[in-house]
Amino acid sequence: MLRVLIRKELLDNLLNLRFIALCVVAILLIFSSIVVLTGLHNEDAGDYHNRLNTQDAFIDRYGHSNRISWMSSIPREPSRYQPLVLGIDRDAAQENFVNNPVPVLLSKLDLVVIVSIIMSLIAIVLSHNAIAGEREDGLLKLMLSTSISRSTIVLGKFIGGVVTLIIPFSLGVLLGLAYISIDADVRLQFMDFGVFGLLLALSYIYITAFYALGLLFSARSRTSSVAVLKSLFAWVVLVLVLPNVSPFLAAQIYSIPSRAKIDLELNKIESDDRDEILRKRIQLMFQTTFSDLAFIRSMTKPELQKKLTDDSAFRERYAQYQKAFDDLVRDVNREQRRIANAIRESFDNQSHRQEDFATALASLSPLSNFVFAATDVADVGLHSDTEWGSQSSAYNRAFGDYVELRYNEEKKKNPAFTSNDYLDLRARPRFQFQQMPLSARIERILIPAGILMVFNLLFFAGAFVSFLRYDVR
Amino acid sequence: MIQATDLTKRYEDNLLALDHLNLTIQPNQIYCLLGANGAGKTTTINLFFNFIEPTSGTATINGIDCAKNPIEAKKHAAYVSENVMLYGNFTARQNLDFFTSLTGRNNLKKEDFYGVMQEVGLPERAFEQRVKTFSKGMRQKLGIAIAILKQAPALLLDEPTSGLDPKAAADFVDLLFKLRSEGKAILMSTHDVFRAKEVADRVGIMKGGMLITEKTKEDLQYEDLEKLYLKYMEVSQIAD
Amino acid sequence: MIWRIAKKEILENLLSYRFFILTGLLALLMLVAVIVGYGDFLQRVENFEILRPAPGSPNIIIEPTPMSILAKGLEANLTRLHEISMLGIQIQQNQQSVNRIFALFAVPDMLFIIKVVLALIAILFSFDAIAFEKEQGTLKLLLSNGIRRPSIILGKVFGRFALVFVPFAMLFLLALLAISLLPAIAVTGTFWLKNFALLLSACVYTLLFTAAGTFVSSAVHRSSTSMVISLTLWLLFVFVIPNFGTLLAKSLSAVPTSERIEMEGRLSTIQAIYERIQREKESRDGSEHRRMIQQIRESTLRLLELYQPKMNSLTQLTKAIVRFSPSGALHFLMTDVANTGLYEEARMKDAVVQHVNRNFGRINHLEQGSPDTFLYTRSSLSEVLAETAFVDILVVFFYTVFFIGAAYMRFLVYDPR
Repeated sequence: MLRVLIRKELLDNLLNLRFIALCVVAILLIFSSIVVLTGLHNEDAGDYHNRLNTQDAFIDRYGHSNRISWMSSIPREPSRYQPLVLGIDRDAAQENFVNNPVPVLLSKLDLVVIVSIIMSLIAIVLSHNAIAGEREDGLLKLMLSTSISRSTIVLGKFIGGVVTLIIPFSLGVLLGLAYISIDADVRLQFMDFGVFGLLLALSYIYITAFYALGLLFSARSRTSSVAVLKSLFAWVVLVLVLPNVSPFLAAQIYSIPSRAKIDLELNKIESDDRDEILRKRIQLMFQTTFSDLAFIRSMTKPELQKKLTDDSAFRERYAQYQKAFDDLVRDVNREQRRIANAIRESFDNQSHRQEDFATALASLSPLSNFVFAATDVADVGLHSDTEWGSQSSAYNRAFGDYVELRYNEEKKKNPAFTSNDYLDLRARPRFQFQQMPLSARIERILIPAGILMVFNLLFFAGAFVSFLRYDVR
Repeated sequence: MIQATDLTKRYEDNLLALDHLNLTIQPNQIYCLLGANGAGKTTTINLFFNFIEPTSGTATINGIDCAKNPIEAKKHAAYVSENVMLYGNFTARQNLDFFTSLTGRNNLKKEDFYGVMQEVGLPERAFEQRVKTFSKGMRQKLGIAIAILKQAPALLLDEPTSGLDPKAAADFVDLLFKLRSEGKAILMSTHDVFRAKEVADRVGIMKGGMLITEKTKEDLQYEDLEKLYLKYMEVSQIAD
Repeated sequence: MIWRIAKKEILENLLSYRFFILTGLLALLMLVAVIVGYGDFLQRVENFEILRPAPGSPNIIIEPTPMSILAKGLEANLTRLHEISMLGIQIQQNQQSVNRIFALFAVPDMLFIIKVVLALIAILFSFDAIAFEKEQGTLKLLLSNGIRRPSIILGKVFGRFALVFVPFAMLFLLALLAISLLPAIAVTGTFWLKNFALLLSACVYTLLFTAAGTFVSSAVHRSSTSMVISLTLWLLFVFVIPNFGTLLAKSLSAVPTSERIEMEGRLSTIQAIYERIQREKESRDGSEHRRMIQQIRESTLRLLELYQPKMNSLTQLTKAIVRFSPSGALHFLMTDVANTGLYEEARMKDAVVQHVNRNFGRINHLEQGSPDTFLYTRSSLSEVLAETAFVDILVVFFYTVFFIGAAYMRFLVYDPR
């Protein structure tokens, strides 16, 4: 019986001209966005390899330890899933004066945007009259005059509707994937199919959640015009408001000082404060341990030199002072650095906590969970950004150590060697970004995907219960 | 076959829509419920299909309690509503196909559907036409075809003739007689006194949720139903 | 007669569920936008206070504008600290937020509310203007009373427009009043003037979408069809064209990435440094430093000359494509009016480059004296209108007139059966 109902839903939608038009639009949109993004990805990848080569050539040719760091910071390889998921848009990072401002102003259209905004809206438009609309047409009574149970009807509507949505969507994505696979620049690997599969599965779950949401409001309204209003209201809040507001709200509720302020404070601790403390401690030193040497403070440099050469007892005492002074400077520096590091660490912790809070707030919306999961699957999300940060800074440290090692080697061979002389760095360690294996990615998206499932379950259970009690008159 | 015993429905807003209704309809019988808007006719039919729960009393079809065992009871009754839109994007045959498969009959062929549509008087060109192009009369005929195909012994019709032109209404009456001769028990609600007099074996007049009088066909040969109807309306108004 | 029809439209909907729920949504969103925008603005002000260069320092930072609460646009770029040195113009990294969630979602400011939500509300209030009355049969009743069709259609468009815009305008003015009363905001005449311009553009924009919904409604015979088509139109204007347009423009114009430009800049700088070292080893005549700085400057200028036209053409192409959507045009218009748009960004960048060029000798201690203080006032409303915004205004006006005209023409031949 369920099969009959599902088939009817499918057929009813597929015979609907409006729905067909929407599907054609969605398929065209998905396909053309993938085509254009593939082109852009190839450009980006070309640019990346170009930069990498330039950098390598530079280090091989200009390996001077002095300014090597200017050119040694490694560029990040554009993700191979860029044609589907842009993730944290690196074009929108504004770190240089010559940055292109357009990406800050307007976002781009990738599969994530198409699914999260356009497909969810289509889902709601499709499902809002599934129950209230059929009641208005007298169809519910007719259907219930047969011996079909209400739960079969609502289940049939749910499955049928979801299948009708998923078919055109999958068609668009598969067409796009076919285009990617025949594109000469992209060589697909086994793992890519896993990622594509996960992306599709996540999209299905997300779209299903919104279909269930529309069904829920349809089962809680008498007429389809009221149902569409309610569902659109919920859609606006869940899709357009909650995700966008949450980082700002999190920043305000859990406010942390700005980075500029922290930098200012650190600067104060490590230079101004340090100087002040040093001054006081030196004064103290001259008042206590080295009170006998207090007179040197009013001496000029030549006078001191003269006394040092003339007076051997003074020289010994002065050496003691010198050592105490050096120790003092080292201790104060260390102490100030410790304070600064504690502040740095607590700031890092605070900013992580703010980010976690923003993530938690955003998780109240299915859209955010979908975005988190999809970007993480494609390795362009928050987790992979963190991963990239730690891997690249580890490499930078290793590279710095290597340069120092090489420099010391050269210096040993030739004492006249300076940091402005050519340093052969051809045997340097090379960077290779270790991408997360598929299993790790799945593990990472368990929480957002789980929350999406909970949304699904909640909305569908709501629709189910509401329909069981629905007044069909 | 169709039986109501002390059937009562009081809505949440305390409106007493049906007050201790008792009626019995045998096979080969057409029963007309006559009354103004809001008299409780549609409520009665809604109770038989368990679209709403009764407050007290029982409605049974073929002896099965409609509130306690609705799924089983509904197997024995077919429903025709006042104004059914059906699925506009489906053809007439697709609509029939869908609704009959809901009743569990899956082994029907195209010809069976065509036969029934012919029987209810749909023109042949309409068989494979989309229902959204249908007139009200054609949709009503299709609705009856759905009910016929269910092959249920009881037939409940809610204002089936409202909005039909005289020719369509006459065709409809013929169809009802044919169904009666096949042994069906038919309950039909209407506010059309003439139609009721024409088809009914028994007529019940309702007012304010109560069945105030019941007349057989024989009674009506000697009485003018229209006058009777208006009289009862007035009487009950005075009683109010 | 138009007024009577409009009055009926307003009264019919004023007490409706739809009016209540949508106006409530608008009020809630605006409250959130103001709170969130103000907090964001305060953060920028704080950064400005901390980073403001000491007198005599060549570094450049401009003051945040309170208009960014309404339309944030490129304000985060505009208020960055530009560090000026012999290496050229560099950006302080510590102003970018540490919270990366920002990078994943859009900014919920007033512009977003107008561009996305107000347009949606206008569509929801107009998609059933004609088709629903036909379904109800009231359209025949209206037409049977000898009212002329133009009066009906214009009455409907303007009545429903008023229904959406009047509550919005009241909430907008309330929000402005709240903003002007907040501490840390100095309200001037131009603030009100620019906000008046924003309100005016929101007004035309609302009319545009009301007319579009009414047009679709008069082109079909079922309100459910009308709703689907209107929502598609909304999606197309608000999301598809602007977002796809940026992609298309980027793929059509070959602009190197900023990382590439940055890298080339560094390469030539390092080259200049090494050449200097080389020269110093051979013969030292005291001009090496000056020559190096000149060399760096020349290569930086060459790089800018090479890339700036490409970057400009990308911006122009993006604008041209995105302006096919009235929502895209509105985005440009409102950010430009709020002094946070592409025009302001280019103007400010240009001013910085000019300033650096003028003061080059003093910044790099090749000449005596300290560099001039960088003085920058954001563009005035009239300048914005004359330089760029008139195109966007034309686009929005064109669409508005087009949809009103189309609704009018369609309704004259509408079959009310």
